[in-house]
Amino acid sequence: MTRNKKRALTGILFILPGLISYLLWTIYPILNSFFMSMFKWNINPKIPNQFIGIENYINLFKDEKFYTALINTLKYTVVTVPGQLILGLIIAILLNRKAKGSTFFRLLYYLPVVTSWVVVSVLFQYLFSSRGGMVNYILKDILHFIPKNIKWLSDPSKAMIPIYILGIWKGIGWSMLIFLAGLQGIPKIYYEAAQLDGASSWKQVKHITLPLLRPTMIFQIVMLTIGGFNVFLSVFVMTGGGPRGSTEVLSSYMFKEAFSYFHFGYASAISFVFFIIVFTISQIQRKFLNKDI
Amino acid sequence: MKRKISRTTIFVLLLMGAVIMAFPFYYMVITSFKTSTFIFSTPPQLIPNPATFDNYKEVWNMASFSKYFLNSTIIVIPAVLLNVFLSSLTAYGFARFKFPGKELWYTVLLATLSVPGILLIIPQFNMISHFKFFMDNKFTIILTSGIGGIAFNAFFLRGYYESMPVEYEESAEIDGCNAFQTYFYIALPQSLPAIASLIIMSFLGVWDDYFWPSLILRSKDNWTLPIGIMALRDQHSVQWNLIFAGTMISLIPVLIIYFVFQKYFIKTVSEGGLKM
Repeated sequence: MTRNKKRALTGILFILPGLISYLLWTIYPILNSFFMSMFKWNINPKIPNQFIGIENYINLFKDEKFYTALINTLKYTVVTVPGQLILGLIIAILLNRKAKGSTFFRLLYYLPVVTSWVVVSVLFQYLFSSRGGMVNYILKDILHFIPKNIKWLSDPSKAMIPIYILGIWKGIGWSMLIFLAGLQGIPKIYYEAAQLDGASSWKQVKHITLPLLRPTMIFQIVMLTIGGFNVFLSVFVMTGGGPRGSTEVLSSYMFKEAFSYFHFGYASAISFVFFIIVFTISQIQRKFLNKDI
Repeated sequence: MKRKISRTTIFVLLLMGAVIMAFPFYYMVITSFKTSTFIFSTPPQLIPNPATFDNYKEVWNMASFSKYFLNSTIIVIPAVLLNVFLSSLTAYGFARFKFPGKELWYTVLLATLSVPGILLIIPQFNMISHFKFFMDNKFTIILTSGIGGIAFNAFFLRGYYESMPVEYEESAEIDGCNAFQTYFYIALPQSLPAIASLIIMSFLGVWDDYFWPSLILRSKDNWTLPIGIMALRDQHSVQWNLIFAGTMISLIPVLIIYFVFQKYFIKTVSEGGLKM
């Protein structure tokens, strides 16, 4: 064997365990999911699965619950992505001024990001309790913004609000950190030159910071949108998709179909459509946003 | 003078934000020390009085959180080791060797990064449910967590290996090390900062994972901390003081790791995040 061939073989041996795991635990499931979506799938292996072609997909497009879930997912994304982005950016700009205690602040703002979704969702469920919850106490008894307690999680017209707030609160730290990295990549000399020309702080932000942060922002919009579409545990823990389906999102609906009703074929169809939507949107965003840098 | 005022303003703004960010955590901590009478008292207690440690004792002993903690630990250690080892082998293979189909495989690996994990759970569960051995077995979670997420990790590490000087490895091979020894004794120790980041990411992923383990680990003896927390919450009379003692037990190891290794966190996010 030549030396090159031997090295190639060694390289393949290095990636082989990872590659096999990956084929088995990612590629095969993806294909299998598409396969399952063509069946009236039975969880009991003794009962044969019935091939029904694209019937699951046809039913999906007639399913009102699916549209509710899709709309809620879109709303969640449209609210939480700008929320995280704008607040993350403001905090990053303030922190980048080398304010007192900025290390401490950075550590604190990032804390919700490292805390698990189960923990923070349970916590927010408690804070938003209708009777005696902290949020109602602050709004009603301290600030007098509302005349009586709001049933945050059991009123269909309000139940998405705590979910939005949790989504933003948990994600600000990530956005802040990415922006900070972006800000540190901007050469100081630009600001020094602007100061010499007498540009105000706001003008500096508008004409130097924001344009130069554009790639960071595009990256974040794409990532946060994917994250927004994947919203799951907060809904699952805080409302379970209720009351009356009013907070159902794509992933929670898919899980209900799969693991409460055992409609694995139908749930696979949902997950596939879900994947195609996310993939398309992130591709469009990438193209559209990259256009005029 | 103007500069000084604006500095103070910035500090005050940041402090207000910090209070909003930190308050839920503060409230969780103090609730875990309250007696059940004061869970929904008006006005809410901001300092627990009487403060009690009983919630922790009860959750740890009566609600079996000692067992869940042990289970979570038993799962997380081998899973993270397996995950990091497999990922670094893969990344090293891509970074240091030339072989046919290399870039094609790498592209396939990257293409699936945007596949939502949620899409995979149904077919993965379908696969696992065919084998009785894998159901309700902690080993399953070790294995599946160990081999999960390799695409992202390999992508994260490859760049690091490529940026390392190759000379040390070459001289090790001249000295008679085989390829694996070179990787294990020379490259791996050199890549420790990146590996540390990966360990933290992997740890958080496994420690906090709720849905997948809850599908597999059915009997109480095998439950992990997140499953235990959800079970407490789903009881008929929800006892928030107990729940938050439970969430604190699961959060404390995370917090310790977060505060000790904060610089790795920041590096991971700001570098790993921007390469895509």
